[in-house]
Amino acid sequence: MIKELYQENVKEVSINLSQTRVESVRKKSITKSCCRIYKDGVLGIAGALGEPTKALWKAAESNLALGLPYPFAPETNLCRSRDLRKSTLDAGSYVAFAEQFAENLRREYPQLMFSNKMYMQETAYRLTNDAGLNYESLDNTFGFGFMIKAADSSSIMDTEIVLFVRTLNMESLMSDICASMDAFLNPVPLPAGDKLPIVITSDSPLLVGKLEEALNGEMVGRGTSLLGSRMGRKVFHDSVTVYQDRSEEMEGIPFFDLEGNTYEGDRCPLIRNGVVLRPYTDKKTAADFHMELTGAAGGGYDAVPTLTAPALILAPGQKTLKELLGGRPALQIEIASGGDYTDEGLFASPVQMSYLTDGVRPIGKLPEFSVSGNLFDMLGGDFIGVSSDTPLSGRHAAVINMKIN
Amino acid sequence: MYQFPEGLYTDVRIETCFSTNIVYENHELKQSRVKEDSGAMIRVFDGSRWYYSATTELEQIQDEIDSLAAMAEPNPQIGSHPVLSKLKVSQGRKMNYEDCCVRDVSPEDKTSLLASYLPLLSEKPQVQHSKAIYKDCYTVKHILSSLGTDITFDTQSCYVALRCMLLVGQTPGRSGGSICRSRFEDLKSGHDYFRDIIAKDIDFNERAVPVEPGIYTCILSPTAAGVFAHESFGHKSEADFMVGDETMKQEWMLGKQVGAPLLSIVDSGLVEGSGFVPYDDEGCPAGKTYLIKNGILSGRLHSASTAADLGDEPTGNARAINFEFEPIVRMTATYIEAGAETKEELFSKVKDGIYIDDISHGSGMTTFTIAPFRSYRIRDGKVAEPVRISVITGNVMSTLNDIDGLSDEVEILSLGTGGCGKGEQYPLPVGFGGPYVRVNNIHVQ
Repeated sequence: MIKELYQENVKEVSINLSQTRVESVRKKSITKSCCRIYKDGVLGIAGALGEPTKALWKAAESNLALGLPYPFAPETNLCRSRDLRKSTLDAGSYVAFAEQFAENLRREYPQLMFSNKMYMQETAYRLTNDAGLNYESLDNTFGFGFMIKAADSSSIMDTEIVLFVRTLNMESLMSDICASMDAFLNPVPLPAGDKLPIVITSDSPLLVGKLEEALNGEMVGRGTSLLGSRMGRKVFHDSVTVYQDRSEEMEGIPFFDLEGNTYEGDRCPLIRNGVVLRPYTDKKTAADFHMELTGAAGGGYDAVPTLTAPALILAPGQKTLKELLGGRPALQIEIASGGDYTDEGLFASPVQMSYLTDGVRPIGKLPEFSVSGNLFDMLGGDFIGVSSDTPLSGRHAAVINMKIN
Repeated sequence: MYQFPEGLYTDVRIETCFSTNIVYENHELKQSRVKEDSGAMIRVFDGSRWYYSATTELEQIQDEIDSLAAMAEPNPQIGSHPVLSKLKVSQGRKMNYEDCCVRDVSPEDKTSLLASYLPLLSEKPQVQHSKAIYKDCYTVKHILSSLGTDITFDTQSCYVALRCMLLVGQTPGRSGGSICRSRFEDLKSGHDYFRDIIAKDIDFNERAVPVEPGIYTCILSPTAAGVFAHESFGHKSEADFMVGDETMKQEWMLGKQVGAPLLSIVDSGLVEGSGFVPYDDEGCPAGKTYLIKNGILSGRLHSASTAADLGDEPTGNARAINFEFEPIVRMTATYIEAGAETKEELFSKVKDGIYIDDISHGSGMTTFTIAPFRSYRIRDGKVAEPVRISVITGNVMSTLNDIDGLSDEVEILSLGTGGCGKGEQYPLPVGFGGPYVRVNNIHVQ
């Protein structure tokens, strides 16, 4: 019998802006604990808010009687701590920063209204057991998720800013936001052409959303994935490499999955240079279908670990965004909400907010339009590349030719 | 019970949630969780700023109140602040589900219920992978405030969902549905519904062809109509988007014609189901609010704070997804009211159009979107071949005027999985629905 404890702790100070002023301050400190007991191929599990108690351990042991099958050995004799925290502030200092930040935004953009959240969040994930496993993954991020509208606009929002940093720097933040807002205030027409390069973050759901489904090990194993019959084959563009990513580039994501699986360098390639290498798997999927274990066990903190789509990201290439565009103007997508893929991989979506870009900075705000394509073209013949630089609020930029309606 | 500090408004919302989660995957029991958690959200208001704290340490609530009070600036005039005049003082104990509480149903009975649906997942060879889910949640909320609110009430939901991956020929597809109810007993008769859904989805995947993109007249099912009402207009009726914004106040002035005269859209926390909210998370009693009545803008959804800003009355729409979050303005059950045509009459007037039977998701800003899950061509007034559609879109304000027919029966649905998202708060249980709705000039691709 092995006893294991999984814990998540979130400490957060969150500030709500309304009309570019601090409207509220919220603090939270929430610990979630899950006790697991492995015995004879069965998992007894019990979770609760707060620290584990004797009663919680007893409940986990009692739950062995439910007979939830788990015929896999837990991780043992492994020890690692990854601490990505770079800076923290006390609540008072963070509120003072927010007030100054809001004042700067009001001064620079009196014609715009910034609302919604900015937060400082410290996360700790721990997985330990009495067989020598001791994992700890710590992070501290500052997140900004603002809705922005022009004072004279009748829309509930006109654009948004979403960005994450590990170090707060007022000058850098304002520079990043000003680049976008200056472009927002400069309407420009849509360039001519039926097919134009679009620029999006390399982890955008518009790109990796369908791959999350198609690279699911269970779906591949049962023949219900679009990529199921294409494993080991070159399907996509030479420049398409897709990682399951638990590296430090991903804010707030621990280096281990819910079963304690890890991967060398915290990144596991699923597609490399266009060749589909492997689907993502947890222990059960890997065993059932004789697949390589990639460490994609997830679920609720108090659930039996189960196969869950991990964070997927397209790997950067060698060229900057400017070099990838080669002097052509491109459409940098900020909001493309509501579209989807069909089961065969056809994609269409309205683009509610985008900028014209030259690859160095956004130039102007474009009118609404729609994009369409299909997965195999978007990551195949229409794929241009992923930038080596990070011009999209600290994210790499993927460039794809897409049909514009 | 608590010492509320002088010169400040304070309230405490304590939530206790009993929940069950049982999952079969490919006929094997994968999850079986039963638990009860408690937590509290504390709010302090000094007249210019709100301070919130979320905690699971219920014995520390007084310390949290004192800690927030130390951050605030006591205001001797707080009692006459406009926001406080809008906060309703509710008292008593209003329990609707004590006599049918899912906590009193044994885990074995819940597992047996779910297991009774498993044979449906073996009936069709096209089903390659399946998941059967049972979830329930019984929540008791106790709200206390420095104004004297002391109200305890409960809400309850339980559901069964079946999800499958299909292989039809060489093409993968999906199938699934859910039934969500307030009482466990009402989950026992869903077998025919699920059998029909799986058969429908297999047929869809066998015969569906890519749609020819274009502008069509569409008929929305009650599910699609409800999502349309929620996304296209419901969010725009949430008054926190208008606070301090003169342009929005002018644009959304009540009394303005915004839709076809046959159109009425309602939000109500009184409809039993996942949008049932007897009191909101500030303790304000639920109400029924016409957002649009006969095409005219008629109401907005409010918290006490937004009601004070806009000079309206609160509507019982201050909601949070759980104790970790402060209440913000949210919908409850949003639906389009019935019209005069029968369903058959509604379809008969469409020579060439699209029927949206079920949807995956929707969104709404200036443009609304619906990603259909299952859709069909309409030819000469009849439902014809299934078509694959990525997304349908339209300008919200134009589309409200392009509605030209409503069927005569309303269906209001509850969400089993997922829910409404707004900012960081997802998923919030909501209800939605309507009649069958005929609407012109929809972009389909």
